[in-house]
Amino acid sequence: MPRKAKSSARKSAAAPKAAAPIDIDAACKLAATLLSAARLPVIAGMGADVAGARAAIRLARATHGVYDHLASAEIMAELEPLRRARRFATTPDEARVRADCLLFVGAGLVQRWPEIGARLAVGAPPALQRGRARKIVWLGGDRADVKGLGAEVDALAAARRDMGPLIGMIRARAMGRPIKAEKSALRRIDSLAETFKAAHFGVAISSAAALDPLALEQLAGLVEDLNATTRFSSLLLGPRANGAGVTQAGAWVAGFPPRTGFCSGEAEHDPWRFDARRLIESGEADAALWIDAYGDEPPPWTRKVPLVTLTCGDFGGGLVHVRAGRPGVDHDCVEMAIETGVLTPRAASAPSAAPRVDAIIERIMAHLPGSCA
Amino acid sequence: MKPLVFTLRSEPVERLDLSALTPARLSDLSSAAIEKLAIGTTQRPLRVGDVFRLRDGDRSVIRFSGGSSRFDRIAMAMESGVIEVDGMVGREAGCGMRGGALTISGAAGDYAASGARGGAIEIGGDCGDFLGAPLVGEMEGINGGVVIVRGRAGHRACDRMRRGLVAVEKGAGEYAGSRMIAGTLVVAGPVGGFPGTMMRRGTIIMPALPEIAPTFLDCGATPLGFTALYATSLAARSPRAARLLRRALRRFGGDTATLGKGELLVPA
Amino acid sequence: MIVRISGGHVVDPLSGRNETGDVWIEDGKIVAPPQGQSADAEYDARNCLVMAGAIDIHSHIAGANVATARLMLPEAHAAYMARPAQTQLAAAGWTAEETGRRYARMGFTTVVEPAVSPHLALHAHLELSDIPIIDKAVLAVLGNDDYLLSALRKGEGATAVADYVALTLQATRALGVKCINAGGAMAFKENVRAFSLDDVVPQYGLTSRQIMEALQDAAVKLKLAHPLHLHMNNLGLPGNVETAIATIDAARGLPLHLAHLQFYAYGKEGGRAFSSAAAQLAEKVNASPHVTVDIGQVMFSDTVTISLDVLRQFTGLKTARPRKGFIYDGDINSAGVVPYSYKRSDFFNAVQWACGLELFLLIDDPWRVFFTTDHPNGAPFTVYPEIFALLTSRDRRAEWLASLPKGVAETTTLGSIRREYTFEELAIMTRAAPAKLLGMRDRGSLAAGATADVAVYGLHKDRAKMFAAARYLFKDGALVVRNGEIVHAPYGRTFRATPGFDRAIERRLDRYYTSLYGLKRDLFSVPDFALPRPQAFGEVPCLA
Ligand SMILES: [Zn+2]
Repeated sequence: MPRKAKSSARKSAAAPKAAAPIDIDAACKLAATLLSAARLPVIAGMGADVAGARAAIRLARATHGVYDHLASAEIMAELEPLRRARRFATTPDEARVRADCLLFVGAGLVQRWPEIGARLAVGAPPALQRGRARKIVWLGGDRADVKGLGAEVDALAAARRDMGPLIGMIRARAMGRPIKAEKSALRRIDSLAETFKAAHFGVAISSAAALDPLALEQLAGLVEDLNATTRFSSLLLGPRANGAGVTQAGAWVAGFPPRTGFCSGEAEHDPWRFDARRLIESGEADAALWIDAYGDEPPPWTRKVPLVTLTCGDFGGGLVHVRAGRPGVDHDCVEMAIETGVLTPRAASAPSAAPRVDAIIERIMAHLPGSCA
Repeated sequence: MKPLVFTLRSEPVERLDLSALTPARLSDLSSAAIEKLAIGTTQRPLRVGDVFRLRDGDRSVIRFSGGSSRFDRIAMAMESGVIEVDGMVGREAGCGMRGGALTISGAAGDYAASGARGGAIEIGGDCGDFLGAPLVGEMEGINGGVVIVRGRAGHRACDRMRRGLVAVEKGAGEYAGSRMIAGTLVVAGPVGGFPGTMMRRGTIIMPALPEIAPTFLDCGATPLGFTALYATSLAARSPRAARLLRRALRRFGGDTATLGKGELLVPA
Repeated sequence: MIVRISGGHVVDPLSGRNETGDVWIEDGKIVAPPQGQSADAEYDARNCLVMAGAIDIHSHIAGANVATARLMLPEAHAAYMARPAQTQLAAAGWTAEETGRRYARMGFTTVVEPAVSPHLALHAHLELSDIPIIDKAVLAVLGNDDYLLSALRKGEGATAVADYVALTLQATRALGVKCINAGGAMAFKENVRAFSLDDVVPQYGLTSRQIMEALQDAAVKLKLAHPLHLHMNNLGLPGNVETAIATIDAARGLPLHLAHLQFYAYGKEGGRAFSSAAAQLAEKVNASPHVTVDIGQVMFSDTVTISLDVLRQFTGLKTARPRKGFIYDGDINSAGVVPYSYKRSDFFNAVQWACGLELFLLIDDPWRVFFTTDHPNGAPFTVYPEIFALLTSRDRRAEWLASLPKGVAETTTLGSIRREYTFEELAIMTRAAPAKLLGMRDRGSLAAGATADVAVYGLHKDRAKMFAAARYLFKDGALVVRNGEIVHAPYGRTFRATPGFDRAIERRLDRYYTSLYGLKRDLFSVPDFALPRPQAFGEVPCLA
């Protein structure tokens, strides 16, 4: 899937062609017409706060459509160890105050969360581990991130492809099983395994963007194994554009995370079948609503499809565009906050009249055939 | 006996869920009732008659003349009888099969033979990723039966395999046999990197060793035993896989990241 | 708008009615039969049982851990891909909307989510907001938090603790306070693997008993209607009846509610060192009038256990069915979500099933025993009708008992118990008593002035069929269920308690958050703007 980095180029190419501004109610009416006429409409992107996500899921249900999030690949990878194995998780607060060992795993973590070092107070001993120092290890980190963390780091470089086998080796040694390695490499792996086993409360920090799915699962396995003799947990930084918050909303509104469809009326979850990009590229879906109130990211597909866009910028690749307010900036919101790891209220930092995603969707729903509004 | 034939009229506009078209589920239906079965997957689903021309026949042998990558869940949970497809199919072909035979002349999509427990599945072309793997949330993949893929398999073939025998003739993608619990996967063509990642038990047999994780250890030559037995049982169905199984093999034990009781076998 | 429910068998313990007669409703309240006025709408309740709407005091219906359970088990949902078609968890609905609808269908009108960790309160309230029809409340969980334990370690007095509890109730919009394996989650963070009543939390030098006493005292001091709601130590372990008895004594005669008592009614007799000690425990409860209990009945089903007792859940990973699990070391509490399958053919599960029924039947006072399965921990709430049937029929119990593995009948007294619950006792246990326990004085009754939550069940000799689907259910006077179908789905309210406290605690806690976490405390609050229906709160008064 194209990443955010690419979006500015796409955006500048698309922006001049932006659909002529039309009044918001006319836009919502047109959106309702497009979505309700479709055989299989897709509510995609879903870069929205919790209220926006609830509304988007209800719209998908009302139109017998599908909902998917722009970072679903990461959402699915994060869910994998939970859905199929055992997962230990903790919070940024606990990592900050209790972890006497912080294990960073993979590249791109600082890009995802620039304040990570300060927030976890990496340079200080953990406040609730009286008298215990903090040990920091980074496997496969960006060199600059490791240097810039603001604490002494025991770093081991590794390419993304090698992360799974590397974690696997540590896992094997932590449990006293053999690996194939040169003497010096074996010593290094053994000493890492010993460091983790000696931690009183260790926390592994990573993300689905930083590791391939099997490596992420391998890491979950390492954490689980370490709990045989000590305490270890993990902190995943979560997908962008409130992916974790949207997942939570999906859990209570529909029972499922994104990539869920209501084709038959009932929610059905299928990570492959209800991948928005695949649905559009294959021609199976015949209308789309693209939402990104966080980042003005363009849709990841290339095929032409009747499209309504709802972003915080001027993106205009579709038939109709509505500019939405940014959650937590233009309006108050609830989102999965990276600094708390829980659904968190955020008051608007620069309140404006820009409409909220849920308000726009409610207007669309009011125009659906059979709506009582 | 004349088979029941479904002839494809044209490429369907939506994905089809063909799980209703098995011998057991059609045995008591008239052909008119069959034509009315909804097999589409959107709010205004296509019906059998919209997609296929029907030629009535013995319900225990079902033939599809013409295939599509949108044919999902063909032969799902089939317990007995025969389904033959002259063409390609989509996802989850033979998923949860318990008995009978499914033959596909062309390619199959992802999750072919997912969670199958018995029966015989033969795919003439390539198959997608996650051959035999469990669906999301499920804990076990293929759990019995025999699967032959004449072409190549995609990534993570036989993920979480629990039991059974799978032979893939022309090769497999990366992470073949990931998280295998037990069972046997024979790949008679080139295999992508890191086979057997996190396998607990089970056997993966390959013509040559690809890049493997350091959590597999060379155990040297392995005595011919059960591999020869499998060679015999595969001789008729896949001579190519059988030939590989008859060679002297060398064993790499792993994955020591987990239980470590699985093995990768390659010609010595 | 005047509504008359006519000719039913009215059972209302609070007003002493147990007779054939009418119930009148006007403007959302029960009223006395109006003189000289006729009803605008009349509902025929002949051959029906008429009771107040039922109240569930302990059911895990919302919040982050429930969400985790849903996400962990996509295969347990009804519409999961193409297989399986139906699961027992799927029968519980598994979404916020279906939770409200399925409770209403059974005639329930108020449900308490009993395990809200303060930093996850917003999540719980968001989800509760989307549960239709029923009224709701939450209990805030304390007793594994550094702030409280540090205060106790420093020897801060009862007033300081009470202020902190009151502020927590305000911040989390909770009706009461709960304590789960006091100190156990904190000890687990220090790699302690077993934790009992007099074990000491490392680093704090406090026992579980001391923490529990402090919270119990705070609830008394704040005059909370609902006493401390306690999840004891050693849940599920053979021989834990000792812990339960010691805990009842530790209450010092002060009010205390013990959650899901069934999970503590175990002895260690017999060849498998696991037996029912329910009779002994029931006797203790009978002799301890300060104590109320709910049962946490086990029924044979595929379910999932959701608990903040992380120590127990960590142990439970070994017996998970299927072998998945989630262990969460949280800020103020921890948690674990572990799927489990109670099997009729499993000796241990069968003993658990028997223990629960023994407690129901051997605790004499229906005002002190409450009807729960600890949903979904003992079973999904949708099994309630079958439990009603078991309580009201010893023949039915005998049939079940006969189907259990060898040796189970010998380890319990269940087979010898002749008691059958009457409608009046059911009405006390599921209506009048819970309203009293929660301090919700406006409900649980059909007396004039009560909130018009009224359940009407068609009489049927199969009680499971009878209680599965209400003939009619009125919520705040409006008809919401007819013949087991939802006909109207308004959103109810969430009830909270608001005891007064010294505001100085707010500044102290603000400083604590800034210095320890480096965050503003209000990031963990439940502001109006965050809720879709912020006006939908009600208050439960404190005791006079
Ligand atoms: Zn509970």
